[in-house]
Amino acid sequence: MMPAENRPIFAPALALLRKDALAERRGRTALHASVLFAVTAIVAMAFCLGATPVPGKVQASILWVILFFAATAGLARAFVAEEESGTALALRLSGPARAVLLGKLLANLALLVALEAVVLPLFCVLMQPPIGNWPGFIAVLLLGTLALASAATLAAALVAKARGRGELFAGIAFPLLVPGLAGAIVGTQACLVGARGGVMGPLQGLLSYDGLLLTVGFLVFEALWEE
Amino acid sequence: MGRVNHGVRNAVQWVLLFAMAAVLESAFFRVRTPAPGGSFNAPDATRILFLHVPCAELCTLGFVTALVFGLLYLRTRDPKHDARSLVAARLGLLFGGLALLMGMAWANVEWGAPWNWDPRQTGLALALMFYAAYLALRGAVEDPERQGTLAAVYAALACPAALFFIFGLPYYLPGSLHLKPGEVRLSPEFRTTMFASMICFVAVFIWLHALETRLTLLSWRRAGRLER
Repeated sequence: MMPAENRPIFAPALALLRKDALAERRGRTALHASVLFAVTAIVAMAFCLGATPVPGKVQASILWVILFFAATAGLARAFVAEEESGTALALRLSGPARAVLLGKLLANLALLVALEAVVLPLFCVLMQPPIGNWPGFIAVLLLGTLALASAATLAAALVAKARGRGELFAGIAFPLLVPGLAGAIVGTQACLVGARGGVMGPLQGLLSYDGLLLTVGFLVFEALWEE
Repeated sequence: MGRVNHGVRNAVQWVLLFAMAAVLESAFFRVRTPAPGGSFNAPDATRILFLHVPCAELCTLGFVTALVFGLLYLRTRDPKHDARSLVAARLGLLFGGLALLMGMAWANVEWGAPWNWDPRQTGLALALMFYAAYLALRGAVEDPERQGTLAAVYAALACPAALFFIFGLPYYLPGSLHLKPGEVRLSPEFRTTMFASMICFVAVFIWLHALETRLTLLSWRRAGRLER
């Protein structure tokens, strides 16, 4: 085998992304599960609260907690599905470990962006968050999504090899995700009208955590995948 | 300490016993605590810090040790490293729990309530949850090699996050009730005793770690886990 560093990464990763997109278009299991959960949660929240004004800080937490659990419903299956359908071995032979991680990460990112395309408009209409700093909010959203996707992908890879996959996922993903989630919530709060403190601090925190998670993830994934 | 000469080991253990006794004697009887009404609401209760701070230190040490031996396991595939990593995580959890409990006892008299959502208090509780999940992950994998690999990878991912919550966040968020370096002037004897206590606790950690590792390896051998 060629040394891992010399083998191409991007082409196999994109091929994997295409394959997952195709499987998703045929089955739509992950997207359905996530969107269904998120829409139900937001609508239930909005109905229960009615016309009660919700402080912006609480709204930011609601948004990210819903995104976290919706992602848990969908992204957790990234590697479990391969193990269950018996295609994990074929995937292992198809390319270097890092390409597999990158491909799965891209697929989960795409899934999350699709989820947010449904969730955010609904959230804005039903909850009417007083967002004052849109560029900042979008930056927080992008970096928070990246943190969510990378943590969920790594946790999914860990959990796919363990028993009791579903129950374990939230517990395993939670630690990897909390720093990102905390940064995203604080950052979203900082973008609301009348918020104190800039958005730069949380953004720096999010960016450094994204970098840390991805670096460590790509370094250790090979050991996990070739296991 | 498996290979250390028996006499040397005995001597070290006696030294540790006396050092620990001296530290405790100093912490609870000798050190004069700050005057009431000064920096602390309950000056006499500051004595628990001589145990609380070293326990928090060992918690961090345990999590970092688990990370280091986990990475060594990934590199060498030696089950001994896996056992060392597991034991370090367990000890980190144990001492973290002790630090949390003692911190709550101190918070109750000093800050008025056992739980104050202080960033460092909350951060430590979160970090402990991470390592509870670590043990759950190990429990969910039967194959020893796979268990070791998953645990090592998880430790590599969770340790930076745990350190962020124990060290990063309290400095990042305003309003921590914990003392920051230089915030309160402590007497030289206070600092010396604290320093000595921290060194003694590290020695206890190394000893416990060696013993627990031997026990774990024995139990693995008995369960036929080390045969390949």
